[in-house]
Amino acid sequence: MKDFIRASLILFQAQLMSSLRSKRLLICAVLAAGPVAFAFMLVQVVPSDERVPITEISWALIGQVVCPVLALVFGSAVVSEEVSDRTITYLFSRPIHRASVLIGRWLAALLIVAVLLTVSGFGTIYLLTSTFSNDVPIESPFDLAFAMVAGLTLAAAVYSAAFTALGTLVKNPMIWGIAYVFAFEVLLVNSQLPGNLQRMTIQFHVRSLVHGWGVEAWEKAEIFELNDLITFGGAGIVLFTALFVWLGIAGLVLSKKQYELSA
Amino acid sequence: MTAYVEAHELGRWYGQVVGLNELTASIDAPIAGLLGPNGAGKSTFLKLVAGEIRPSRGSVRVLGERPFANRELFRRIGFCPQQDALYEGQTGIEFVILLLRLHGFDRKEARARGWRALERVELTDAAERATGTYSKGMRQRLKLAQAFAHGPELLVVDEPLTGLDPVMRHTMIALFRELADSGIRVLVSSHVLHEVEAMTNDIVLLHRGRLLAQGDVGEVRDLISRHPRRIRIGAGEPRRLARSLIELEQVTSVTFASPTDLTIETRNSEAFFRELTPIAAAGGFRVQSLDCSDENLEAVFDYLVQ
Repeated sequence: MKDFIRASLILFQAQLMSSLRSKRLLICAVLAAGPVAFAFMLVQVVPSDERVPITEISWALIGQVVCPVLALVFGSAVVSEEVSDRTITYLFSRPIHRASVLIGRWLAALLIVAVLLTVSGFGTIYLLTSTFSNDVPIESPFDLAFAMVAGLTLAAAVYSAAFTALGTLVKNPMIWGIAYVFAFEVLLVNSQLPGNLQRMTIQFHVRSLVHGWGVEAWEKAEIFELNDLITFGGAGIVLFTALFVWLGIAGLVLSKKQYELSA
Repeated sequence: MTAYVEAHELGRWYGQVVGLNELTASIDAPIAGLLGPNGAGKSTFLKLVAGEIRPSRGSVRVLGERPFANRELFRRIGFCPQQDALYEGQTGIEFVILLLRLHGFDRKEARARGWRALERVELTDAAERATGTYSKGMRQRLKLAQAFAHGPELLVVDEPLTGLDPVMRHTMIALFRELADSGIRVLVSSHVLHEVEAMTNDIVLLHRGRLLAQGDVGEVRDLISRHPRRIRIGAGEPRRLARSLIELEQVTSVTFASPTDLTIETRNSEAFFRELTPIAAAGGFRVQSLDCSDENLEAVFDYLVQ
C-alpha cells in the first residue's frame, strides 16, 4: 500500500506539472472564464436595479456546461493520452501497480478541474451578486457559491472517473463523452419524461445535492424544479458510490489490459 | 550460463494476424541479437519478454518469471521500446528521474543515477532541454538511458540503432558491450545483420513469426554469402568488363541493363567483391557505381527459408 501511495504521488506531481504546461489547460481556463466574462458583460449592459436569475444563470453555465466539459477533457485524457502518445510503456514497465498510474493522474486532473470550477463559480456569483438582486434573496453569496462549487467538484470527480474509465475502454472517449453529456444527460435531466430515467444521470444527483445543501436560493432555484429531486444524503451516497464504481472499473481494466502500441 | 529468456511454443496473434508462432528458444548469451526483416516478429517477441503483452499460446519466462505485469520482474529488467515516444514537455533529465523514482529511488539517488545514465549515452549537454526539441538520435539515446539507469540484470532493446548516425551507432554498440561486460545481459533486436554482428556472435533469427535459426552469426553469414545476388555495376566499358567478369567461377550470368551498366549474378558475393577490385585495376575499367539491389534481409531470409 505504501508503494502504491508513493507511486501515485509521484505520478500526481508529474501529471500536475505536465498539465500546467499544456495547451489543454489554456483552453479549459478560457472555457472556465466564460461564465465570469458573461457575468461581467451583464454587469455592464443590464441596469443594476433589475432582478437577474443568478442561480439559473450560474447553474446553466457552470453546472451544465463548464463542469462536465472540464471533467470530460481532463478525465478522458487520464489514460487515453498515455496510450495515444505511446508513453504508457514506460510506466507499465516499472515496478508499480498499474492502478497507481490511474489514481495519480486522475487526482491531478481533478485538482485542476476543482481549481477552475472554484474560480469560475466564485467569480461569476461574486460579479452577479455584487450588482444585481436575485429572484429569491441571497443571504450569503459565499454560501451560494460554496454550495455550487463543492457540489460540482464532487460531480466533476464522478464525471472524470466515468470518462477515465471510458478512456480505458474505447479509443475515442471524447466523442462518447460529449454524446453522454450533451445528448443523454441534457435531454434527460432538463425534460420531464415519466419514470426514473433522470436518476440515471450525474446531473440529477448533483442537483439534488446542491438543492439540499441548506441555501435558500438553491432550494428555490427554478432550474431544479424540472427534477423530482432526492435528499442531500441520498444524492451524496449515490455520487460517492458511482465515483468508486467508475474508478474500480478503470483500475480493473487497466490492470488487465494489453496495450499494443505501434512503432 | 543459465538461460534468462525461455520461450516454449510461444505464439501471439493480433486478431487474424500472426505476430509470433510456436517459438521455442532459450537465450543465455551475454548479448543476444534478435535478427529478422520487418514483420518477422522481433518487436512482438520483445514485448512479450518485457511483459507488455501476454502470449496467445505457449509460455515465456524471463529470469525465471512470467513477465506480464510482473512488478518484481520489472525491478530486474529494463525495456527500451521501439516507438519514438517521450514526454515532449519534460526535459531529458526530468524524464529519466521520473522513471527512476517509480523504481523506488529517492530524489537524490534518482538524480545521481539519471545524470550518470545520460553521461553514458552522451546526452548531458541536452539534459535540461525539452525532449520535444531532441533529434531522432538523441531520443533513441534517452530511451536507452531510461532503460538501464536503474541497473537492471537484463536489458531488452528494440531496434536501438535506428536513426543514429554512424559515429553514434559505434558509440552505442560500444555501450552495449560495456553493459554486457559489467554483467547486464542484453537482448537487442535489429533488421541489419552487420549491426548485430558488431555487437555479438549469438543471434536468434526470426522470419514471419517463426524461429528460423539460433546460434553463431558466422554460420548465417556463410549462408548469406552463398545467397545468389544481383549486382549492378556502372562502368565506362561495360562490354569489356563483362568479358573479364564472366570468366570468374562465382559469376553465373551477365546482362546489360543499359549502355553503361551491367548486371551480374553471383552465388558468392564476398568472393566476387574480392576479385572485382584487382580486375578493375588491371583492366583500367572505370567502375563508377555498385548497387546490390537485392541485398536486403527479406530477400536473404526468403532464400534461407527455401
